[in-house]
Order: sequence, then structure tokens, then C-alpha cells
Amino acid sequence: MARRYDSSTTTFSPEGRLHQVEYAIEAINNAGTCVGILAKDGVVMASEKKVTSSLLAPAKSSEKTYKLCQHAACNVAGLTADANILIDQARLRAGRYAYQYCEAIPVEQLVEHVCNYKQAYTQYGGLRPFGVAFLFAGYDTHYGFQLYQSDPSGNYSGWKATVIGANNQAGKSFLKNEYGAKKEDEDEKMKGCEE
Amino acid sequence: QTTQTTQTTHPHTTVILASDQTNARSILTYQTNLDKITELSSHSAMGISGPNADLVNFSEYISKNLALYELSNDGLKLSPHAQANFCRGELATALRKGPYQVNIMLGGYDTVKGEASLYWMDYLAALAKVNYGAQGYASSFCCRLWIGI
Repeated sequence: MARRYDSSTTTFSPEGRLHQVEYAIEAINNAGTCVGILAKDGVVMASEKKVTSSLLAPAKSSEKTYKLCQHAACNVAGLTADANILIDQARLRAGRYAYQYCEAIPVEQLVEHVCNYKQAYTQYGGLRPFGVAFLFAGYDTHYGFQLYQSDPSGNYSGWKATVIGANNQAGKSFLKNEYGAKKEDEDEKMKGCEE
Repeated sequence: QTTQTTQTTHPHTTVILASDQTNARSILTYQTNLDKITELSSHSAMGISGPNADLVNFSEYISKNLALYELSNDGLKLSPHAQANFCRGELATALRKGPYQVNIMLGGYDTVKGEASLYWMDYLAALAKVNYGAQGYASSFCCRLWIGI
């Protein structure tokens, strides 16, 4: 029944859903897990690197972690090819902001820009959405250290701790119980998540 | 014999902007109460001099764009440094198209850093951070007073 309304990204189903966006989010549930935790003095992110073949040349750079500017970085879960486009967009935006204002872009503005870019692919053009979820981590003088999560719909939110990719539900429940329980256990929490 | 100069720098906390209120051209004085200082945010303002058309057009263009920034970003304010660089960028872009014939003194207080700053900007899109400065005829009088300050 959903079949009639799920091919076009720009059409709502009768139940008020955008199926292509939901399918894109599903695609990310098979991707390598990424965890992010906000601490008082910084943000920690860790990602699972999936080794698909022993024939693969050793990677010179990470396919999970990317620097966006001096004060912000992101971790990717999903289609790496799609992510590369969005990371270029983020880097351009950060650079252009610095060019215009001679100042570091506030982290939320950077996140919002990437998300607005993603949103366009759920509303215009008949192109499929990006199959990528991000964890953005950064620092600015307005809100200090911040952690954001975004998904193919173009929605984003700020988190104290969150997980994306495979087993993200289990990861989030674990963090819900453990985060803030004891002050010194950031490393323990990261290890727990990776398990 | 060598002379040593020591300079202590401390953050400033106040900026003062002053301007005349004359709007005149050739033999006519149109107005004697023109406010040439434009508020950019709750903590910064810009004094502009130049032909009335450019003065008003440029000041409104900049102040409305900065107001849009605050509205778009949940009340976040741009620092005076960022405002000055934005302003200079607009002058620079227009320079080789249709220049704004305005000279500016931009002053403000950075609430994040807790310090005040003053910027000198001219119609050729030069920008300098200064502790004191003047544009227009005032500079002929004031600059002499400030020598050795």
C-alpha cells in the first residue's frame, strides 16, 4: 500500500509520511556505529571502522572522522560517497563564514547549514535524500563544547550523549542509564558503548 | 645608547562615538539634526560620513543585515570585530561595481570577551583597529590632539 507513495521523495503518503526519507534513515542502521559524548571540558567521538576486505589498501585517512574547520569535526554513519558531498558543503560554509566575518562560525550555524542542504533533497528536485547521519562536535565562545546529531531528513538536535549507525537504539539506552551517573567515567562509557 | 619603550596593554571597556548633525550640500543646509550614528546592536554602533544617499543607504543596509543575523540565530550577537569585517567586506565588494562613498568609525563592546573596540574604515574598504580615530574634517583637528597619546 505504501508502494504507491514511496518512490517519490517529494510526495507525502496518505499517512503523512515521506517514505524515501525513512528508507534513507534505515540504510544508516547498517552502517558502522558512531558514539558521541559531551563532557565539561570537551567532546569525545568514537566510531567503528568496518573492515570489508583484507585486500583493501590501508586507509591513509578515516572514512568516519572528518575535520570541518579548526574548531569543529564530524563523524559519519552511512553512505561515504554521500557524506563526502555534505562534508565539502560544511567546509565551504565554515570557510565562507570566516571570510565574511573573520571569525569562527558558531557550531550550530554550521550544522544548520548542512541540514538545510539535506532538507532540500526531501522537498525539491525529485532527487533521493542523502543516506548519511552525522555526529557534529565543536567549540565556540557562545555555547562552549557542543554535540549535534543529524539525519537524512535534515533534522538536527543537540545532545549530551548519543549514538548513530548499527545498534544505535541499544547504545542510546546504555547511555541513558550511564550518562551523568559518575563524573569520572567518560572512558568507561565509551568502552561500554563500543561493546 | 639605546632607548627602551615599554608598553602596557590592557583591555578597554568603553568606546565613545561622536559626530556632527549637518546635512548640507553646496550653499544649502538641508538639516541640522541628522543622526549620523547608526545602532548596529545593543552593544555597538557605527558613525558614518559621506553624501546623504550613500550614508543612509549603507547604514540601513548594514544595520538591517546585522538585525537579520540576530533574528536568524536565536539572538546571537556578532562581535564588533565580526561586524567591522562584514562591513568592510560589503564596501570591498561594492568598490569595483558601485562604491559607497562613506567613511566609518565603528565602535562596540564584545560581551563574550568583555572588551571594547574601535574600527576605522574608509570608502576604499580599508579597515584598521584603533584606539582613537576620526573621519572627515574632524580629523584635521583631533589627530593633532592625539599625537603622543
